[in-house]
Parts: sequence; C-alpha cells; structure tokens
Amino acid sequence: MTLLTFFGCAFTAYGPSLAIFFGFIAPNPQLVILLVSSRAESGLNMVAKHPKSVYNRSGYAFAAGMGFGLMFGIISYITQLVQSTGPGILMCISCPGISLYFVSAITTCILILHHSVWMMISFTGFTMRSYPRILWVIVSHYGASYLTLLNASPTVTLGCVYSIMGNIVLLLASIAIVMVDVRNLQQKLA
Amino acid sequence: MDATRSGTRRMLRRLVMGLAAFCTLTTAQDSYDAVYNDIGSLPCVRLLNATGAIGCQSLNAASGVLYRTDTLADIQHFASDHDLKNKYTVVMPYWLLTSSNVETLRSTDKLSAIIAVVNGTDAAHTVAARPATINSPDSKCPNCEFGLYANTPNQYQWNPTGTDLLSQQFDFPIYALNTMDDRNIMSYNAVIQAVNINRFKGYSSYPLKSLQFHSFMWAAQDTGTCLRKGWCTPVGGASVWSTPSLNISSSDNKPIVVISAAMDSRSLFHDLTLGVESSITGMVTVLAVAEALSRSSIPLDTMQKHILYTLFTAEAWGFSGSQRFVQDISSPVNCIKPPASGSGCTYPFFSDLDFQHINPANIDIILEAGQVGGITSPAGGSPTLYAHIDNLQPTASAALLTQIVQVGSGALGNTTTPPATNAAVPVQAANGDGTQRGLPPSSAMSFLKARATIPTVVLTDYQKQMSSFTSQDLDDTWDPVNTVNAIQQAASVISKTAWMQAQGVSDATLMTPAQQQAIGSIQVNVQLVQDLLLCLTRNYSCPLIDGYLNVTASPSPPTRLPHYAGTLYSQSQPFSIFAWNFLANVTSVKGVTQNATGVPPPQVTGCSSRSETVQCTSDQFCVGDQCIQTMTRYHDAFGVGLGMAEDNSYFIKDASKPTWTESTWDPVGLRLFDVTSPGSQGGELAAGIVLTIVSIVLVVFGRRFLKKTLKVD
Repeated sequence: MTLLTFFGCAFTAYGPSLAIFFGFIAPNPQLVILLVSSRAESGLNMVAKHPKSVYNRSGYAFAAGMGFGLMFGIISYITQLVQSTGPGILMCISCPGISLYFVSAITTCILILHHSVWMMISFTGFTMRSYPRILWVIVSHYGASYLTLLNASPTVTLGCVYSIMGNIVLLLASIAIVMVDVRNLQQKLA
Repeated sequence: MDATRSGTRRMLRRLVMGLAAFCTLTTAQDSYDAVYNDIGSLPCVRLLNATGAIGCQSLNAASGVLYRTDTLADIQHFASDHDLKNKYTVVMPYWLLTSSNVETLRSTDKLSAIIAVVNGTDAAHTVAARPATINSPDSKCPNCEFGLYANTPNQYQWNPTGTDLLSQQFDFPIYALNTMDDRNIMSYNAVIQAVNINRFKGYSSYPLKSLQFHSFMWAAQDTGTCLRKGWCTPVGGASVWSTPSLNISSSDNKPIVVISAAMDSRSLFHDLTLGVESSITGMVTVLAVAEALSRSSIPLDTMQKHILYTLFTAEAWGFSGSQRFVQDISSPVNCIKPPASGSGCTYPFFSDLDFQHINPANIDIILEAGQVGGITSPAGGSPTLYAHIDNLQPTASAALLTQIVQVGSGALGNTTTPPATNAAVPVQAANGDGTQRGLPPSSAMSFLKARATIPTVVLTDYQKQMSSFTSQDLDDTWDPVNTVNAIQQAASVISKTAWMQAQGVSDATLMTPAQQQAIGSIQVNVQLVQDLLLCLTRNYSCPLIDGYLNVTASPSPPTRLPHYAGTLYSQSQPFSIFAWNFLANVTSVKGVTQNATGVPPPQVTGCSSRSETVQCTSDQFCVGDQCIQTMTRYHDAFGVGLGMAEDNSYFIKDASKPTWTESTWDPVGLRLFDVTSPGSQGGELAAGIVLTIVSIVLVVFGRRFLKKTLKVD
C-alpha cells in the first residue's frame, strides 16, 4: 500500500524534470556534461554542433540549472521519499488532508524547474550586467523558499495551497522573463 | 605554502562533508521520530511441543488501524460493519480475549492484530469494568495429560470453566498493555489516545492512527522440527532443593519428609505472568514453612527424618521441574564425560551430583502447597483450606490426611495467630463430601508416578474447582487479609505436621510434654508472609531480597519480574536465585545449632561486602554476607521428553512426555503512526503518473516548437 505513495511522490517530484532531461538534455552529450559539472562552457562551445549559435549559452544555462535543480531536489527530498515507503505518513500541518510527502513532492518538482530558469536568468543577468534580473533571481529564490514555510503553518488554513500557487506564479514569472530574453536574442539574430 | 593551503582546504572539505553527513543522518532520525512512535511491547510468543505449536506468530510485519472495542457488542459491531474496509488492530479489555471472540474477529478478514488491555486507567479497563467471573484461559484440567491420572478414564476436571485459550495457535500478533510501570503507562496512554482519535473520527476520516507489529517467530511446526534447525530452546529453568540435614545420604535409611511447591506460572503474555494465586502463594508457603521450622528448638538435623524442601520451576509446563528431579534422583548417574574441574558432570550435564544423596525409596511423606491464596474473588468471604489425597491409593495417605486436619483444627492449641478480627482458616479433608477426586494437578504427582504409595497431601484453597485466576494475566493481586491468613495457616499446618512427622509422631495427642513444648517454638512469621508476597510479585528490590542479593546496587533495581519459567540456561532465574539464598540461609548451620561445648560455631561475615579480605572455605557458600554450609542446590528443570546431546543440542527423547520449547524470535516491536486511506494513496500515484505523462507530452511538443521557431535541436 505504501509503495503507492512512494511511486506517486517519486513521479510527482522527479517526473517532469526527468522528462525534460531525457527530452532536451540527454540527447546532447555536452549538455549532460554541463548538467553534471556546469564549468566547461568555453570548451564545450568549441566542440558544439553550432559553435557560433547564440542559443548555446541559453541551452547551457538551462542544462546547468537543471543539474543544480536535480541536485537540490535529490538532497532535499530523498530522505522523505525513502521514508514514504514505510507504512506511516506525516500529514501536512496546514492541509491535514494531504500527506507532507506529497506536498513536498509538488514543491520539489516546482523548485527543480525553478532552478533551471533561475540559472538562465542569471546567465543573461551577469553577461548583460542587468541588475534587475540578478535581483529578481535572488528575491524570487528567497520568496520561493519562504513560501514553503506556509506548509508547516498551524494558523494559515490551506497554507500548502498558497505555497504551491505562489511558487507556480513565481515560476511562471521567471519563465516569462526567460521567454522575453530568448525573444530578444531571436530579434537580434534577425 | 601551497601544500599548507591545500591541506587546510582538504581539512575544510572534510569538515563540511562530515557536517553534511551528520545533518543528513540527524534529519533522517528526526523525520523517523516525527512519523513513528516506538512503544514498549508485551508480546504473546510461540511455544512448541512434540505435536504442534501454541501462541502467536506473525510472518509479516502486521499493521492495522486501531479500533476500539470495550464490550461484546462492540466486537459484534466490528464484525458486521461493512464500511470498515481496511485492516484493523482491535484494542480490547483482557477479559474479552476469549476463544470465541478471537474467532469472531479472525473470521472477518479485517483483523490485523489484537491488543489486550490487562490493567488500564480508562473506565473500560479498570477492575470495576470487569465481569464478576473471568474464566481461566488454561485447559479444563491443566497439565493432566502429564499427571498421575493421565491414563485413568474420566479423570476429574479441576478447571471445568477453562477456555483453553493458552493452547491455541494464532497466526497474527497479540500484544498486551498493562499500566504496571512508567514505560508501560506511556505505551498504554499513547495507544488509548490514538484509538480514541480514530473512534472520534468514526474510523472513516483519514488520517487514522495505525499500529505496526514486528513479532516474527523463527520456529515452525513442532519441537522436533525447530530443535533440528536450532530455532527453539527448551522451556525450563532452575528448581531449588534444600535440606537442613547437611549429611543426608542415600544409604542412611532415614525417611524423608518432602515439603514442596511450584515456583513458576504461565499465562498468555509471559512478561506479565505473575500467578499470585496460581503459584506464588504456594512458594511463599514453603519459604514460610522453612523459616518457621528453622526456629525449632529441637535441631532439625537431629530428628528421626530428614526434611527436604523442593521448589520446582517449569511446573506449569507439564510438571517439567518435578518430573526431571524425580527422574534424576531415581536413576544412577552414568557420567560419561567428567568435568575438567569442579563438581558435576559434563555429559550428561549436571552442575552438581549432590541430588544423588536423596534416595527416592526413603521418601516418607509429601506435603505440598498448591493454590492457597484464598482469593475468593469477587464475593469475598473467608477462605477454607482443603487437604487432597490420591484416590487410587487412598489408604496410603489416610493417616496423614487425618493428622493434617487435626493440626489444622487447632488440636495443638492456637495454631495460628491471625489478626484479632479474623478467625483461623479452617482445614478440611477435600473428600469430606464423600467424593474422591484424587489429587489436583501438583508436583507431588511426579513422585507418585514413580512410587504410588507415598503418603501425600496437597493443600489448596479449593475443594472442587481451581481458581478462575489459574494461568491468567490478571492473577496479579491478592486479598491483604484472606491471602495472608490462608498462607499463614497453610504454612503453620504444613510446618507442624512436618515437624511431628520428623519426630515420628503421627498423632498430636501422643506427643510427649517436651515435644508439645518444642512444637510451640514453630510459629509462622506473618510479617515474612506479607514481605514475601510483595517481594515476589511487585518489588524484587525489597529489603528482604536486597539483603541476600544486593539488587538495589544495580543502576535500575528490578521491581516486578515475571514468573514465567523462561528458557533453559538463557534467561536469568531471579526467583530461583532468591529461593536458593533464602533456603540456604534458613537451613544452614550457623549460630543456631551449638556444638558439644555449648559454644556457637564462629560466624564468618563480610564475604560479600569485603570479598577481597573475607573468603569462604570451599565447602561454604556466601549467603547474605555470611559464610555458611548448606545442602541447598539448584536442579535443572526442563521437559523429561527432551534430552541433551553431547554437543549441548537438544532432541526429543520421548514424545509422550513434556517437550515444551520456546521459539527464538527477532526483537519484537510496536510503532504507532498515521496512515492515509488506500484511496488517497492511489490518488497520489495517479497524480504522479499524470504529471509525468503531461510533462513528456509537453517536452515532445516543446522540442518541435523550438526546432520550428528557433531552428535549434
């Protein structure tokens, strides 16, 4: 019975990021190296399929972010996930109807994606010296983290819903920024 | 410089990694503690004999949602409630744990485990909530298949209301809760709080509180199988025998007066086995007799007959202690492998061979104290003691029976000195109503099986039917007035009868004036009876036991210890150890007897408190800080159907005799936690799968989109 929870939580937490990994990153060995090491951009550019492509940097940033995100997702959630194979569960304090394992799985899923887009924004921010972007990454990082405190809030009813919704909103905002940057690049190319 | 820097860096890295590992471990333990509450456990375990198994087993770690039943109606409601779709752990008062109720629960397919509350603070678990009579869980005639009348047709059923729950086999865990100490009170409170939450939620609004049990028993099938695999150990321990006659010899042709009782008892939960009425009252009686007789103004070792005290263990398991003792004293020891040093024999194993001094042919009479607690629960009323004799050879014991009744009637003057408000406990012949029932289940049967004509009287507080407390976990209390009076009277009657017998007097009226005066010196110490009752039940660290064993020196002095016999050589035998010390002390040659010059022999004290300077001689023992000489010995007790091979393994020697073994088991444990409904767990899995599939679809479309718009792979 508890295996249901384990697989449910595992798919929820890592399913989307693994889909992205296998869909976007795994086919490209350079991105896999970046995902694991995040430190070989210039070298990799030389052996890239399109060494001069302006999208290389975005792709590298995404892969590096995904690597960072997966690392975060595994370290922060694996203990709980292993625990979920046991018969007992811990209920989410703010949402007593849902197990904390599942709420954490959703949060983990979102935060892994967050890391990917944060890395892309940071790359752009630092290359273009765009301080608002850097600031956004820092602030939204803190925001996303502090929002998860609502999960354990005994006073805020349905705190976990606010936490997840807030995180999704932040993620969408970050994605919007990334899309704008890519559009700019595209226009520059055109 | 660089080397230093890289060294520092390496150290730093190690520190960080160590810290990270520590944090991870701490987190894992913390999160385990947040989910699970490990609680103390009192399990029912698996026991086996030559033909099968009894007790509890659980192959998997069973877990079930806690469900509370306080009455029979609750159990029936549980069985008929079709809205209950999970597996459940049923919490019930101990008295509801009957064969029929267990069968009702088991047949529902909803039962995961049972928790029986022996004593609790909740209204449903108090003494007041119990029904007037709770039937004994033992068989209708406990151990009679190994007794004197095993081959007699229509043998008398001494426990006619016995439910025989103890001999059943359960393939699910049964655990007990009992508020007997702090740890168990915590367990009880945790479980009751959890089950009350579930009841409040109507057992339907998840999360609900669930309990998981680990109680895997290694042994399967029967004793023969598990002994071959080494997955069980014989039930047994150490019996104790003692005599004031230091020079007892098998060839002295001096008759022996045996005074006997059992030390152990049985019940479903071995950690809770006390058996106050079942066996402790008898044990206290024999110890009180030994103490009373030690005050005889005529030294016991100068009398016409030897006096022999025997306290047998594993008696609840087919009279294992007494049968093995009788078997060993009856057959010459053929020591194939003598020990490298010291006494005894390595193979066949005997820790000493002094039991050979006891010649079974010299056993002249047997006086046994059975259930003598007079706990006439619950109606109250004053107890009566009944003297039982064998009905196959009734004439052999007739004279002894008359003497016992005569002594009990106060023919020697006031036999007891009970509190002023209570009359002396009367002693009657059990066959006074004209019905010959024979002996109730008793150790004396083992002697009579060897030689049926030994005059034997078994003293009990019942005439026709054993106490309903027999072999119950609830057999943990006594009546402060009746029980003490009954034990005192039993001890008084046995000690005086034994004294007269040892003096060769069979009729009180024929005693010489000197004897009449001397027998007055034998008075049972009421305070000792009270102390022993308390020490042997609730407080093993009482001053009496502490005086012998210095138990209070241990970091956690023991209080209530179980009276289950235990497993042979692998569990400590606290009551045997105490009985040995007590008997050794009261039967020993100390200052009581005086030598020819009228000067007491010198006493050597300090052998325990100043062991580095004071050492006893090789024929002495250090008892209660004093060097004494004593003929007090332990004697191994385990089923006579079992034999011990040269390599210390056991095998079945005779399947028709007692062959009880206890399964080895993994550490047992209970943990309490929340569970979600199976439906919501399925929902989580569905959500995870859907999310992953949607992501895969999005990734596929995303790749196409990027390829089209940005022209990248």
